Amino acid sequence: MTLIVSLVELKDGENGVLTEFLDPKIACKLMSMGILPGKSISLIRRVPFGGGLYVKVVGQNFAIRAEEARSILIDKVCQTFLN
Amino acid sequence: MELKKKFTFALVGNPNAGKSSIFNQLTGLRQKVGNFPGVTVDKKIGTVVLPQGQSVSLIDLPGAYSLYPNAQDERVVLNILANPADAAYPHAVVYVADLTQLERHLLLLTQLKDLGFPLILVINMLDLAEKQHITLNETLLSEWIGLPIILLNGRTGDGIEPLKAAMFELVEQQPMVQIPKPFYQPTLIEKKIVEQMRLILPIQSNYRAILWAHHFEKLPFLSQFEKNLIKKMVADTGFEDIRLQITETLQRFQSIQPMLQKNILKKENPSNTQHTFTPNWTDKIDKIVTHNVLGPLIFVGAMFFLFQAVFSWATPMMDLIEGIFGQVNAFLKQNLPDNWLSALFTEGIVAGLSGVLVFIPQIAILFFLISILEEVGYMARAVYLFDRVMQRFGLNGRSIVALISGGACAIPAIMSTRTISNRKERLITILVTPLISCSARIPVYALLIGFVVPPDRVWGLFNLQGIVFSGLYLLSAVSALGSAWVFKKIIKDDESAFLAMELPEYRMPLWKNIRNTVIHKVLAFITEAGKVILMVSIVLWFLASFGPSDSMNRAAHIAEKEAIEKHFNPEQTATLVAARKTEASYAGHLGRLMEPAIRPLGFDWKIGIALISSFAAREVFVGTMSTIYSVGSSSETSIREKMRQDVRKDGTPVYTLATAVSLLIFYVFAMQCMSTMAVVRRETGSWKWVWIQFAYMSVLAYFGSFLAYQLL
Repeated sequence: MTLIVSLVELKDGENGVLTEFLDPKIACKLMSMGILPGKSISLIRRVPFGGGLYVKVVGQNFAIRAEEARSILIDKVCQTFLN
Repeated sequence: MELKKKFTFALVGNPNAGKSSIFNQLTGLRQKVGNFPGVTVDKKIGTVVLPQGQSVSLIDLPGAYSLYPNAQDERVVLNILANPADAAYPHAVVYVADLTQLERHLLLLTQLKDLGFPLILVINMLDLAEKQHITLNETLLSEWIGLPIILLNGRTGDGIEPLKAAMFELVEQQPMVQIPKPFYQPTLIEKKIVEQMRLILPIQSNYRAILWAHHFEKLPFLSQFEKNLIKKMVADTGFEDIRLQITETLQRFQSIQPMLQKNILKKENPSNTQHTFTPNWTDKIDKIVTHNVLGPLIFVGAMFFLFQAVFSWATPMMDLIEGIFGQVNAFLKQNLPDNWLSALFTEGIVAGLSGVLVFIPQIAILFFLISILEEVGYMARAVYLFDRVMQRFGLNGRSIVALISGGACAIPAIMSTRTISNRKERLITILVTPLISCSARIPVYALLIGFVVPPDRVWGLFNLQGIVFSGLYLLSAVSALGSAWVFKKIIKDDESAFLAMELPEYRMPLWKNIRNTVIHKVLAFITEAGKVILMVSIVLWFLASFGPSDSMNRAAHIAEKEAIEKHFNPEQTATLVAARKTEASYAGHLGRLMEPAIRPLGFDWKIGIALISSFAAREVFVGTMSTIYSVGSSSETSIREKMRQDVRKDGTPVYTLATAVSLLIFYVFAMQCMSTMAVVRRETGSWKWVWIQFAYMSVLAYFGSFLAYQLL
C-alpha cells in the first residue's frame, strides 16, 4: 500500500520517501542540493502559520518554504510498514 | 600586467564544505579582496607557496551546488568557469567536498570534470565523518573518478602539506589537454545543438557548449550576435532548458550513488541511517534554538546583546581615537605656518581622516559578532525562523541578515543580499536596508539627543537618553518593514522564490576565519567609504573657508566694528567674526539658497549646509558642524556648546526641542550616503532603483520632519 502526500501535509516527526516533484524549477534547485527522488526525508519541525519546514535528508538538515514543500510528494509507505 | 600569467588555481565547492578554512590555511594572510567585475560578490585571491618555493595564485570562488545557478553568487562561478577568456579563468581547480555529504558534493565535481579542468579532490570534515562512523575507500574513489585525492582537516590544517605537494605536482606536469571520458552522456538534442554550435562558435568542450545553450541569455561574456545565434539553435533543436537540466542532474547522481554506496563509503552502523533517528548535538541545540517560542526570544536577546556590545565596547576606543586626533590637530595648528595650506591640512584632511577612523571600532566589533553567528551556523536558523514573517513584507528569510548588518553599515548589508535568489525579494531588501539606522547615524543621534533629552533616569532604572536612542532604532525598523510592505504591493514579479537552504551542523568558530573577515570588512570600509568622506571634508573646508571675491573680508570688518561698538571681549569678538565669515562663504550662500525649502522643518542655513554635505555621508554632519563652527575660530568651547549658544536673528535659540526632533527624524529616514547609492547602482544594475530609493526616502524624511516640527 502506498500513501502519497505532499511534504507539507506530514506531521512533525513523520517521515517518508521522496517520490516526485510537481514543480520542475523547484525540482532543479532541490536536486542540485542532493534532495532527490528515492531519498528518505523526515519533517523535524515547522514554524507555525505557514512558516518554513525544518527537514532532514540523509543526515543533512534543510530549511524549506511551505510553498516549496507543497510541490514535493512523499510516499509514507515505509513509515506505515515500520510501525 | 605580467607577461606570462601566473599559474592559477580556483577553489570550488558546495556551500558549507569548509572552503574558507582551507583557503585561509593555504594562503595565510597573503590574500586580497576585490570584486568580480560588474557584481559585488567578494573575490578573494591569495598566494600559495608550494613546496619548492614557487608561488601560485588561488581564487576563492563562492560556494555553489552546481553550474545551474540560482543566486548571483553562484552565477559568478558559472560565468568564470564557462568562459576561458575570463581574467580569472583558472588553469586548474582544487575541489573541496565534505565526507559526510560526499554524494551530493560530487555533483558539481563531475560537472567540472566534464568541462575538462585538471582537478584535485580535497575531502574535508574527516573529524565529523569519524563521529558518524563513515569510512572512505580512498583508493577506489580515486580510481573511479580518475583524480588525485587529498584527505584533509580544514580546521586543524592536517593534510595541507600533502595538498600543496599535489598542487605542485599538477603545476609541474603542466596540464596536458585532458580528454576524459565524460560523466554525462548527452541526449540526442544536446548532441545536435553542440554540433551546430561547434560550426560557428569557438567551443572546445562539449559540456561547455551545453552550458552555453542553457544559460546564454544571462552569460555576460557572449555578444548579442552570439546570443541570437544560440537562441535560434535552441529554438531549432527543441532544446528544453529545465527538462534537460533535470535529466542531466539525475543521470549524474545515478552514476555517483551506486558507486559510493557499494564500494567507497561505508557506514559502520547501517541501522542508524535510514529510519531510526539518534539526535546529535546539532539536533539537541536546534530543539531549543529553532523552537517556536524560545527561538524568536533567543534571537531578540542575541540582537539586544549584539547592539549593546557594539555601543558599549566601542565607546572607549572611539573616545581614544578622537582624543588622539584632537591632540595631533592642536599640535599641528601650533607648529605649522599659518597659511591656507596648513588650514587645509588640519581643518580639512586631518579632521576628515578622524571622521573615517572613528567608526572602525564599531564596524570591527559588529562584524566580529556577526561573523561569529555566521561561523557557528546560527544565522541559517534565524533565516529559517523569520522567513515567513519576512515574506509577509515581501522579503526573504535571508533579508534578516541584511537588515541586521544594516545596523552597522548598509554597504556590506546590501552586498549580503546576493544570496537571495528571487529578484523581487532581493530588490525590496536592497531598497529598505538603508532605512535601518547604521553606525554613521550614531554620532548625529548622540549629538542631538544630548541637546534635547535630559540624562535623567526613568523609574530610577532606564536612562532616558538611551530610551530615545532605542526609539529611533525602533522607528527605523518599523519604517523599513512598512516600506517593504508597500513595495511588495507595487513591484510586480512572478519569478518563483526559493528558500531551500542547508542548516549546517553547529561548529566552534574558527578564529582565523573571523579575523580575516573582520580585517577585510574594515579595510573595505576605509577604502570605499573613507575616500568619499575625506573628499567631502576637503570640499566642505574649501566652501566654508572661501567666498565670492572679498565678501568674507568685508564681513569680518563689519563684525569687528560691531564687536567694538558692543564692547565684546576678544573671545566673543572671535566667535562673532568667525560666524559672520562663514555666513559670507560659499557654503553660507549655498545654505541661504536652500533655507526657504527647509525652514518649515525648523532648519536654518547652517543645518542646510550640514544636510548638503551629509548627502555624501551622514557621519559628515558632526564633522560639518565642527568645521562650520570652528573655521577661523580659536576658542576651546566644544561644538555642542557653540551650537547651544547659536541664536536666530530674533534671539531665540536655533536648537529647540522641535528642531532637534525634526532633525533626528530627518536623519532616520533620509538617504544620505553616496557610497550606498553607488553599491545599489552596482547591485541592481540600473540608476532607476537608485533614484526610486532616493526619492521615497527623501519624501519620508521631509514629511516626517515637517510633521514633527509643526506639531511640537
